[in-house]
Amino acid sequence: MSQVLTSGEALAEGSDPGEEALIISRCVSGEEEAFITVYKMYAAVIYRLCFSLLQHREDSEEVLQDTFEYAFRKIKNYDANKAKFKTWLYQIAISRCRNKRRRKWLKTLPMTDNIEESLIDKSSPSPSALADLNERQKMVWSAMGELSLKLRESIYLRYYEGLTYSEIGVILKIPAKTAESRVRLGHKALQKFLAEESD
Amino acid sequence: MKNEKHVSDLMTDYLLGLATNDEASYIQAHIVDCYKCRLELWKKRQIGADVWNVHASISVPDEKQLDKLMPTIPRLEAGWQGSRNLKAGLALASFIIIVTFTSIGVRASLAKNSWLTTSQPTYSTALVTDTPTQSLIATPSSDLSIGIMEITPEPHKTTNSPHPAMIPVPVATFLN
Repeated sequence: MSQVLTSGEALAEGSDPGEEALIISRCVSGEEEAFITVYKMYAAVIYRLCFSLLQHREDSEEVLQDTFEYAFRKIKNYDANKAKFKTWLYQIAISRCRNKRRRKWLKTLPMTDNIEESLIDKSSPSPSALADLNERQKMVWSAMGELSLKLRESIYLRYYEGLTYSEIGVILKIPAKTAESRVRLGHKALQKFLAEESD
Repeated sequence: MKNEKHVSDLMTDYLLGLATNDEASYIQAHIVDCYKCRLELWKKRQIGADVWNVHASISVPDEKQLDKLMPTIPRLEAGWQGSRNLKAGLALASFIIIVTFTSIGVRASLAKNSWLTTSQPTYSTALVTDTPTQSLIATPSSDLSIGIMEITPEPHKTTNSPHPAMIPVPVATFLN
């Protein structure tokens, strides 16, 4: 199946680092057009990341807004020498996804005795977003939902984004060895879930 | 078969690029002849491909929907203007406070030293210095004349003391 890329994602994929740096410097100087360009470049990428981690449409939209709202306000703090702009956005988005999930978990905590159960998001699976998936893909999506958020983050960044372990480490703010370990654990867990669902 | 030992334990690391060169060589040599391990390796590799496919197939909201989700762009100019107004307000408030306290201080210091500069004593000082106040002198009331008489010094008195003056008596008077 071919990848469904939006025009913004395609723009972000093929963005020239020099051009990107210029756009960001324009953002720092307060140019409205530059903010819009940055948003159009990365909104779909960040949404896809959020939806993959949260598996919930409304939550993903909220996190998308929060991420860009924060990024726009703090764009002066972005240091191109430390990380790529996309990496910086990923850090913000993942942090917000964790907060979102934690808040949801806290809300459900008093109503259930089983903490493990409460960690699994039983909310609507956003059928429209998954309408195009075949049976096998739905099974994989469901297995991804069974993973802990930490493992899900690592698996997404490794398999979908194709990042190296050191890059994953930078985004998740963990050592590369820990990133390796998480991907390994995630892979084994996925294999186990898929084997159980196939049987 | 050259490599008898199956490689399922090493497969995940091999697929994730975490196997050593020796392990990778061993696996590559083994799967050539071992159908079971080759199939298992294919299945494990398929997981990664499935994960990629699922995420690539997720339908992202279209551009119009995404545009609706765009947060408000921070107005840096407005923020700067706001801070400038705040500074101006603080400066004005400080100025008002300084002016107020300065005027209070000046008035207080003038009031404190006023008795030094006045030409006429106050009523209370007049009681102890025998000097009538200007207001009492100017008052023609007969009721007040007694009071004035009481505190007005006698013509022969040369001292400002409220006690009667002692009349000096020659020493020879006693001797005689």
